[in-house]
Amino acid sequence: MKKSKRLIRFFAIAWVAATGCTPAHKTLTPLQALQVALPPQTVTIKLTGYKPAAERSFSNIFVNNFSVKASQGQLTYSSARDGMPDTLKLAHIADYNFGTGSAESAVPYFPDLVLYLAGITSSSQSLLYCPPSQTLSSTNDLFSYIDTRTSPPTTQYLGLRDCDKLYIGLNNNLFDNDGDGIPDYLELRCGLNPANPNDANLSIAGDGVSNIQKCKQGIPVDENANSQPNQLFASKYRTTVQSDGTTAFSVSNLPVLNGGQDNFIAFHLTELDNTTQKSFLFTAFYILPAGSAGQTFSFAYWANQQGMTPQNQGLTPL
Amino acid sequence: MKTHRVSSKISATLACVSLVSLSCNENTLTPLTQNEFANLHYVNVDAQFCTSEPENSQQKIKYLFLIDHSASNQPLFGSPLVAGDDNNTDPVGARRYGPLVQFVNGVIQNPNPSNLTSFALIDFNSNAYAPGYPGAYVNISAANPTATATTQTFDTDPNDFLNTYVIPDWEGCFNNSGQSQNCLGTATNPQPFDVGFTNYQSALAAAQDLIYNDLEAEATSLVTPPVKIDYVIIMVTDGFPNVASPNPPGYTPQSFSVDLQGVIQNIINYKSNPTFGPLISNISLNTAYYYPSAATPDQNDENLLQQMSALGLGKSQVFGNGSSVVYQSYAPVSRQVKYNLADVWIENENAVWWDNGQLMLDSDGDGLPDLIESQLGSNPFVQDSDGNGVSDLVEYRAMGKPCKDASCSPANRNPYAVCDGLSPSTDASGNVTFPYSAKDGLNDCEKLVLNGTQANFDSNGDFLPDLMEFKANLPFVLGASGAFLNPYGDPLNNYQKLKAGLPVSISQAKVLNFNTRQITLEHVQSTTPDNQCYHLIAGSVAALNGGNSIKISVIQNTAVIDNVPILQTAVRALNGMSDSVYFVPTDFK
Repeated sequence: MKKSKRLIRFFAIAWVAATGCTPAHKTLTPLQALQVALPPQTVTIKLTGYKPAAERSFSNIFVNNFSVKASQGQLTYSSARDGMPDTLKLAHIADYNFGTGSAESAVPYFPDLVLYLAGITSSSQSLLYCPPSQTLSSTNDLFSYIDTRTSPPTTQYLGLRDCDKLYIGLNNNLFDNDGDGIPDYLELRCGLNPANPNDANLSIAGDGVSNIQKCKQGIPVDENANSQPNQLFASKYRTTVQSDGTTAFSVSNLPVLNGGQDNFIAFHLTELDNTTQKSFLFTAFYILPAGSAGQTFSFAYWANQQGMTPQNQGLTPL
Repeated sequence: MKTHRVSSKISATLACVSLVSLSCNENTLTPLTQNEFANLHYVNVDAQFCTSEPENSQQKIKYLFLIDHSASNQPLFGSPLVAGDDNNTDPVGARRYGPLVQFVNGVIQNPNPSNLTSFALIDFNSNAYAPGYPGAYVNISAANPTATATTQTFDTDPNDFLNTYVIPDWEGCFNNSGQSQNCLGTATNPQPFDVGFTNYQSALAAAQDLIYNDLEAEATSLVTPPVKIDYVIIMVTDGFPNVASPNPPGYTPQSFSVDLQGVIQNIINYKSNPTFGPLISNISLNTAYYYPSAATPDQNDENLLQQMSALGLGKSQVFGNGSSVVYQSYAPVSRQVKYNLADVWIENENAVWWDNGQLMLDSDGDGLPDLIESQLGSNPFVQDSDGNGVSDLVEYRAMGKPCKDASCSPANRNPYAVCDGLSPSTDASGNVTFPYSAKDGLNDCEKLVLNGTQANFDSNGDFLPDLMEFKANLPFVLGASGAFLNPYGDPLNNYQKLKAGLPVSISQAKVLNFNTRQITLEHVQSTTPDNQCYHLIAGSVAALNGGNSIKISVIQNTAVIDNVPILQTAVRALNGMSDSVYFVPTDFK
């Protein structure tokens, strides 16, 4: 079988070379090993009324479902919403002390994701220390929210506290340390390095889709964007400038699991000051109710025109 | 499934047939160079590889202990003792020295190889001084930070460090195993060294001085790649920084903003120093506040120490109720370095896009096409025609010609004085080979000639290996990259063109009748829980003759913290009539 396949391929190539004509699709596309039988359940998120202040310009928007991770043709659920699927955490109970209930289940103030990526196993976790003055974020690169799934409800933190940034060698006063356009926490979640200025522009998979684009669409940076599963999993962004001068964003095909219930939708919007070239980050979140799958949720842009307040906002649909 | 695969290939062929008849016209069919393109065909590359397994992070850990020898350690100091007194904090040194001896002994068991861990000790009371030599006070200050406080250096031998500095400093109270010896400092016979005021500023300035001297020594004895240094400063004190005030006689407290902030900032700033920064993984100033058993911690003292360690990016801890300092709690967290795939490059070493925008045969794979080599007088079948250790392409780009004289006579080759410090090997015919510190294919001398970074395969950090970037005539040296530029306003930028196997020297619109590469990357089963394995398939890799060598460069980057890329490469030749080159994980070195 293999021989005849190659023979056919050889003839095809020889024929192309001989005639000098390039076929429209250019190559023999290898089969994708990964196939998804059913398209995932999705939601559509709309954000209206966005307008940056006069001296600012819009840079980028990331709308991600933090409860879901796409990888190797599968959507896996992350109860802690921290970029680590439950299956991964459960596989590392013994060596990392991980639990699925919280993003900081092993060491107070240090996200499990940071411990995992930095390779800090349970034997050395006790040496980590977060000074009281560094337990929050100076840059808005941290969500705080009330998790009502526990009784009583608990305050949870998702993102990078100042001591986390300092520990991994980042400047705690910057939300995008390498200036590549991806906020530091998202960069960690996407499997990139927040200190490397070039990795956002690369296309690891060689498919021409840059890592930043995949990070935005919620698909893995080290897999082909045009594989069948990733085509199904990639969320689609549309930006519309309205007649009143505001901008509306629509993010469709955002995959959800469990019918959407308790899925954590995170918003990261970045702006640039045209004169100082300083960049700004505004974050918000919305936790989907049961039965959200297939629905559209519309929100008004949460920050005021100066874009300073409020930040890290829990949103309410219009 | 396989039947389907074959039939899809057949339909692809048929689709091409129909496309030829429908859509081919004279304009798009004009080849750029008839001669070269006559041999053009395409091969497939199929490779399996894995990211590296996690490894224990290696860094030099340099502990610098700053230990308080002020009079308040003594019993009966300022007697009569009153409740809440700040004195009598550590009369026999057991809170400071007992755990220090244990810690230094225990560090040897750290997974970090012991020769990467070293220690130094500075004492301070009215001034900082070298341990055991209170007579040798050196009055250094933030204003005079480079005054030599001590001749001490970081000691990599724990026993030597204990016996030379710690035990004598402790007045011989206890031996190395913690057993009581002739102890001079007792409750009734206080340590003679625990006298005077508490000069934090002097201690910090001495620490800065010691670290500065150490960094200077490290910078000159640079090994490549450098093992970075983590300086862990641990300041052990019973609080209340103050210095003598002569007029009126008494003491003056030291404050954070006036006395301490500047010198702490100086120490931390070494991390961003252009010379020292690359040597340093971390510097932290940590504080340990041991207060007397009878008292609660002094809130001002505690706050000040917290402020200092917050600026010094370290820990601030309190050891009360007579307890001992826990040095282990300041030890750097040992961790494993994990790698993520950062990029993959495929090159055909024998088909290069030359500066004129033509794909040309390069038999020796030096980047200079055969046709150009024959015009220039160099040997198209030898990468380094004059045998001087610098390849023909490097010489061509650096000097305008691949040999010093056109005959390529070894007697007349260019010696490249800039490489004098390197130690090349020379074979019987006098051909020189320089060491390859980086694995991108440019040797140390070539990197020097081209102003690249010897030990780094990617001098400008854009994830394009130096030699590949150099062959494409893009800048690869530190501070310059053309990877993400798009000089012709094409659909693809330079990076994307290189991925697609297109030339960067001409506009995309001028590349006619050429198939771009199609790359598919898929995950396959990992070999360990903490690495990733991949299957890479590339179709339409251009080839010009039968003996093409395909080179794959796999670049990984650390997940967090280190931001260190590593390169692995594999080369395999296309065999005979086969249209595919297969790579297995063990090919990548």
